[in-house]
Amino acid sequence: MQSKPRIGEPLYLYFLPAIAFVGVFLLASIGDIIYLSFHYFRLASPLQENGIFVGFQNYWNLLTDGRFQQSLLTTVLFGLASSAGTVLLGLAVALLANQSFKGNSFYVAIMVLPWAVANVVAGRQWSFLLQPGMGLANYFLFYLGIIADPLKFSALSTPLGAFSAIVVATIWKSTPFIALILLAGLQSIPRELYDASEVDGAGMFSKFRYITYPLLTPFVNIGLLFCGLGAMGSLDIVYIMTNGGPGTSTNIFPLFLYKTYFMAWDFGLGGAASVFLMIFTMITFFFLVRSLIKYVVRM
Amino acid sequence: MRRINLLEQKIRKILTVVGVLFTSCFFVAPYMVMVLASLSSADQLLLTPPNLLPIPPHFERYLAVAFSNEFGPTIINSLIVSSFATVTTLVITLPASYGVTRFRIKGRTSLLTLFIALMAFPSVGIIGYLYDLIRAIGLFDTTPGLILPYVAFNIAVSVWVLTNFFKAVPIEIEEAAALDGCSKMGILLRIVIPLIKPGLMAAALIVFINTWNEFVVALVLTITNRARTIPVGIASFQGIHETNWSETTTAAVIASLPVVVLAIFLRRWIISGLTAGAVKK
Repeated sequence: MQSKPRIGEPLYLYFLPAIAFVGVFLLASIGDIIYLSFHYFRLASPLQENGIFVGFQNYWNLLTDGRFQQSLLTTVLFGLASSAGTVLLGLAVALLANQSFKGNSFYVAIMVLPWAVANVVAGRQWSFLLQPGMGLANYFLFYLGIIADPLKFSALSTPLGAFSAIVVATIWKSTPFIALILLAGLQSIPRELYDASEVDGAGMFSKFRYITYPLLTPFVNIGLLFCGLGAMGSLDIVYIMTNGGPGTSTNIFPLFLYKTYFMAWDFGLGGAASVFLMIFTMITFFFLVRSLIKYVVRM
Repeated sequence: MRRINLLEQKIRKILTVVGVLFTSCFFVAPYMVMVLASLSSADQLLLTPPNLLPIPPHFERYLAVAFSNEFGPTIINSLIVSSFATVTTLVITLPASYGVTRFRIKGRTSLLTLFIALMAFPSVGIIGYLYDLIRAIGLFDTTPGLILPYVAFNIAVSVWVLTNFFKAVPIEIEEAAALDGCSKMGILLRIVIPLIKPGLMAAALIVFINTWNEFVVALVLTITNRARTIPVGIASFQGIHETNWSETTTAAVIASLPVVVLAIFLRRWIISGLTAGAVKK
C-alpha cells in the first residue's frame, strides 16, 4: 500500500530515531576520521602538539609505513585463503544439504552452531585444539603424518602454522553463514529445469555445469564479498589466537588499525587508516549492491 | 540409460553420506572437544594425549567460573547490554522498516539503500571515533555506553530482516483497516505486527546474538568489570602464569552454549531472517 500521507500524521517520526542513531554513531564518524586523518593526534604526546593541521602527512606516513604494507599483504593472502576455503566448503555443504537424506534437517541444524559461537570463543577453541601436548588437533595431524611430534609441535608459534590456524578457524566460523545463503540460492532454482534436462539425458555433472553453476554464481559472489569484508574488517579471531604474531606473520589490517589507535595511541595515523578502510568498504559494497540488484532483487 | 542412472544414484548417495559425515565432524567436533574439556578435571587435560572423557563430570568448575569475581560480572553485563540493545533496536527499526516499505514519500528508496548499506559498515574503522565520543558524553566503561553504539550497528540488519517480512504482508488487509478509519500507527500496532511475529523473532534473535558475541567495540569502550562483556572477559581470561585451559574452556562454554542451544532450537527463524531477501519468493 503506497498510500498518501494523511494530514496530521508526521511521517518523519517513523524514521527519526533510526536516522538519529545512525547519524550520531555511524555517519558522523566519517567526518571525524577524515578530520583526524589531517591532524596530529598522538594521545601520548604533550597536549599542545595535538590538533595541529598536518595536511597529508598522516597519509604519507601510512603509505610508507612498513607495518601497514605488510598488514595489507597479509590481509590479501589471508582473505584469498579464507574466502576460497569458505566458499568452496560452503558450496559443498549447501549441495549436500540440498540432497534428500535421512537427518537432513539435523544437518542444517548443525550449521547453526559455528554461526552462533562468538569469534572470541571460536579463537579460544582452536588455540586449545592446537596446544602442544593437550591439543587434539595435534594428534590428528600426527596420525595423518603431517607433523612428527604432537607433544612439541606448536602451530601458533611458527609463521606458517599460525597463518594456517587463523585461516582454518575463520573457515570454521564463517562457512555456515555462506552455506545457508548458497542453500537458499540452490532452493531458488526451479525444479523444472532439472526435470527437463533429465529428459534430455543430462547427467549429474552436466546438470551442475549448465544449471546449478550459472544460476548459483550471484550467490557465490555475495559470499565472496562478505568474506572479503570480513578479512578487512574483523580482527576477533586473530586477536585471540595470535595477536598478529609470531613476528608480524598474522598481523592483518584490522589488527594493525586497532594497534595504531590503542597501542600506539596515534589517532591521526589511525584516522588515515580508517579512511583507507572506508574507501575499500565502499568499493566492495558497490559490487555487493550491484550483484544483489542485478541478480537477486529483480529475480 | 537406466543402468547409468542407477549407478549415478548410487555414487550420489555414497558421496552424500561421506560428505555429510565429514563436514558434520569438522563443524561439531572442535566445539564438542571444548565442551568435554570444560567438564574434565584439570589433571585429565595434562595427560598426553589428554583424556577427555569427563567421568565423573566436573560441573563444579562451571559454578566456580560463573561466580568468580573475574568472570561473573561480565555475564550480568552481557545480559543487560544484549537485552536492552535488542529491545531498543526493534522499537526503533519497526516503524522505520514499516515506513520504508509502505509510505509514498520522497527519498524512500535512498533511505532504504542507506540502511542496508550500513550492513557493510566496518566497526573496527570507527573505534577511535567511538572511543572519543563515548568518553566525551561520559559513558565510557558503562553499559549504556555499549548499548547505544550496538543499537546503531544493528539497525541495518534489523531493517533488512523486517522489511523483507513487511513486504510479505498483503496490502489489502491494511487498506481495509485504513478504510475503517484506522490510523497508520494503529495499523502497524494492531494489524501488521501480529502478522510479522516470525520476522520480529528472527530480527530479535539475530540482534541478540550479534551483540552477545560482539568483541572489538566492547574491548575499546570498557576497561573494568563495571561494563566488560563476556567476549572481553574471555579474551582477558588468563591463569596467573599461563593460560589455564580448564577454566578458559569452561568460560568459553558458559559464554557460548546457551546461545548455541537457543539458536539451534530457533534455527527456523534465524535462517529465514539471514536469508530473507536473498531469495525472492
